Amino acid sequence: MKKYLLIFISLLLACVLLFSSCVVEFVEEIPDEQTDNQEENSDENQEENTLTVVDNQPHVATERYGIAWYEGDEYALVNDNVPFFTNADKTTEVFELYADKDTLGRCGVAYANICEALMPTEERGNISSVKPTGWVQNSYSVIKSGSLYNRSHLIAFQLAGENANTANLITGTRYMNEAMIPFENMVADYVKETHHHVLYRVTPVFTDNNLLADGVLMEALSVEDDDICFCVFCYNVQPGIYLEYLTGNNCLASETPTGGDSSADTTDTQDGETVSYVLNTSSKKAHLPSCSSATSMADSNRLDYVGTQENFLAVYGAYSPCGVCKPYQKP
Amino acid sequence: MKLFLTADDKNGLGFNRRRQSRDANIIADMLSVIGGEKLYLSAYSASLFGEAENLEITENPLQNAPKDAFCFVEAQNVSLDGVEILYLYRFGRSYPSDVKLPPLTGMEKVQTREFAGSSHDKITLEVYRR
Repeated sequence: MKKYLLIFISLLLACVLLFSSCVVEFVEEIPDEQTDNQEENSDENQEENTLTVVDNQPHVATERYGIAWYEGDEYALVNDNVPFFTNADKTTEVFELYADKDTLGRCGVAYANICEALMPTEERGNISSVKPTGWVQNSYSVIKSGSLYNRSHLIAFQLAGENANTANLITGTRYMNEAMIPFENMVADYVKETHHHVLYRVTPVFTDNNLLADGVLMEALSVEDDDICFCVFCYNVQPGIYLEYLTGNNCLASETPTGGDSSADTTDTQDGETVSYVLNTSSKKAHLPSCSSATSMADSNRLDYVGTQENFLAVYGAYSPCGVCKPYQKP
Repeated sequence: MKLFLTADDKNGLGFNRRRQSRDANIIADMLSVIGGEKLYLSAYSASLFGEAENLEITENPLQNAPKDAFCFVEAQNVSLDGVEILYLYRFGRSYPSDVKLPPLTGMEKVQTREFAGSSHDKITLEVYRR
C-alpha cells in the first residue's frame, strides 16, 4: 500500500512542479533533531527596516485553488471544503511522509495517516536552531505575541510528534499559525476520542522563487467514518505588516510607500457576533474563557458573560480587557 | 424545550456540516441529566449514544420534539425561541466553525459545572434558563 501511496504523491508533486518549479522528492522522515514546537518564537534578527514594495506578491495559491487573495478571513475554503483524497487513499496503515526540500531549501508536501501511534508521548523539544526559508524575524507591537514569525509545523507536533524535522517546518506568520491550530485541534481530539485514523496532508505553496510561502493547503479526511473532512487554504499574512514574499523581509504596512497591501486589518469581533468573557468582579478585568487568569479565578470573583459585544460594552463598559489574552480592544 | 448543545471556545457549533468534536463523558453526562426521559436527536447524533435507551430519532428534532422534551442537536443553526433550559457543554478548545451559537438573549446562567472529558482535559457545562 505504501508503494501506491508514494506513486500517488509523486504524481501529485509532478502537478505541483508544473506550476511552481519546485523540485521535490519524497523521503521517509528522519527525526534526528530533537527540539521545540509550532509556537516557538525568536527575537533574533531584530531590525528596523522600511521596504520598497516590489512585485513579489503571492499569486500561485489563488490561481491554483481559484480563491481570492486574503480579504480578512484567516482561511479560504478550497474545492467546496472537500479534500483531494479518494476512497482508494483510505487506509489504516500508519505512514508519515515529508518531501525533500527543493533547490531553494523550501519544504514540500507533508502527508501522514494521523493516528494514536504517531502522536507524541514526550514533551516538545527546542526547535530554535531551525531557520526555514524566509526567516527574517522581527517583533511588532501590533502583534500580540510580539514576534512576527513562527517556525510553523506543516504537520503539527500534537499530531505526529515531530520536533526539529526541517522538512516539516516553514516560516509562518503568527497569524497563519493561529489559523492552523483549530484544524489541528479538531483532528487531534477526534483521533484521541475515537482511536481512528485521519488522512492529513499539508502543502506549502510558494509563488515563483519566493522564500516565504503564500500559505498552506490543509486537507483532512477521516478513514473509518465521515466525521473529519476539510480542505482549506490558510493565508501566510499578518494584518498590519507588509511581507516581502521573495525574501521574508518585512515592515509595518504603514511604512511602505503604498501603505502596504499584503494584508488587511481585522477586528476582533463583528457586529452581532456572540462573545464569551470571564469577568473578574474584583479586579474589573475581562478575560477570554481560555485565559489562565480565567481558569484560575476564584468562583467568588467570577462572572461569566455570553452575548453580543455591543451589549457587553453597554453593561460592562467599566471593565478593562486583560492585557495577556486581549479579548477585545478597549474602546 | 430543554436543549443540549456542544460548543468550542469561540462559540462554534459545527463546521462543514459536521460536529466540531465529541466526548464520551459528555454523552454520559447528558444521559445522567435526562434520567429516564426521552431525548430527541438526529440519527447522526444518535450514533454517539451506542445502545442507550430512550432515544427518539428524528431528522428535525428542534421541530419535532414536544414542548417540554429534551433535545440534542449538532452542527446546525439553532433558534433558541422556545428553549426554556439550555445545557451548553464547552470543549475548552478552539476548532474551526461555520455555525455559531446565537446570542443568549433573555437567558440567565444558573449553573456551571466542570468535569474531566474522555479526550478533553476539562468539559464545562453551563446551564441557562429563560
